[in-house]
Amino acid sequence: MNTFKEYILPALIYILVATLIIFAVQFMDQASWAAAMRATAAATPLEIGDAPATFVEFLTSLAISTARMTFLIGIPFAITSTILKRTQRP
Amino acid sequence: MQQPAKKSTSLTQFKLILDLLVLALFITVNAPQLTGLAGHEWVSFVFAAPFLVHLILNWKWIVSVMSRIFKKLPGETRFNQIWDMLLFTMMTLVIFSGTIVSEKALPALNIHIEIDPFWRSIHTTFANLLLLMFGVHITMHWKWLVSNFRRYVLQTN
Repeated sequence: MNTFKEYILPALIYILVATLIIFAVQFMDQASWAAAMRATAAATPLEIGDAPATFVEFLTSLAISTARMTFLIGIPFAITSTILKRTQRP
Repeated sequence: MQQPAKKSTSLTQFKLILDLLVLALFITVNAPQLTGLAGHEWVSFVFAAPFLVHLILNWKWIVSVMSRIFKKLPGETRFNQIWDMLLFTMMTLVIFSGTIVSEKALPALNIHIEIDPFWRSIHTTFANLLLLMFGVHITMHWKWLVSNFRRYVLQTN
């Protein structure tokens, strides 16, 4: 009973909530702005292709990925850390 | 009476290892230029399981804060409550949109879905937003991560 309550039931609840979220957003693609997004995306070539084939391509991809993640994770991290330091009691 | 403390220690240790795994997989998934599209899609499927286990292991906290949703909560707890709900929603949408625009993994399993460019656009946009949100989530739990990393991985007091 414990295994069910502590592990299986939470998993089922998460899956149920996720299903409800997915069901709710299905209607998004019928919205008027979705048509414009669809047209733009259809005209945009896919950014991601195959894995890098040469060492130089690998280094370039590594640099791009590192820069992207440093920027997108690092900046919120720095801002949040600063705010926490100022708001948390010592 | 030593058993409960020991059980709590191994659970914390397990949570730490799991969270580090989730972090490593999350970073790998978000480096599609390195893995290529096929690698990105397959790693994403692998990511889903430890992510679900991460949620399950934090179920008690989620229940305790959700049961007090209309009651007074400390500021940080309230922030984590709202942020984590948004994070879960975003993660769900990114995984869903990514699945339905799969070009390598699902076709390899003989599942063919007509790709809608709208969901491809949603997937890219929300994935970038998710990275930003993830940075905040990591920061909010940074102290826990660092202290337990020192204790269980570096094994310093």
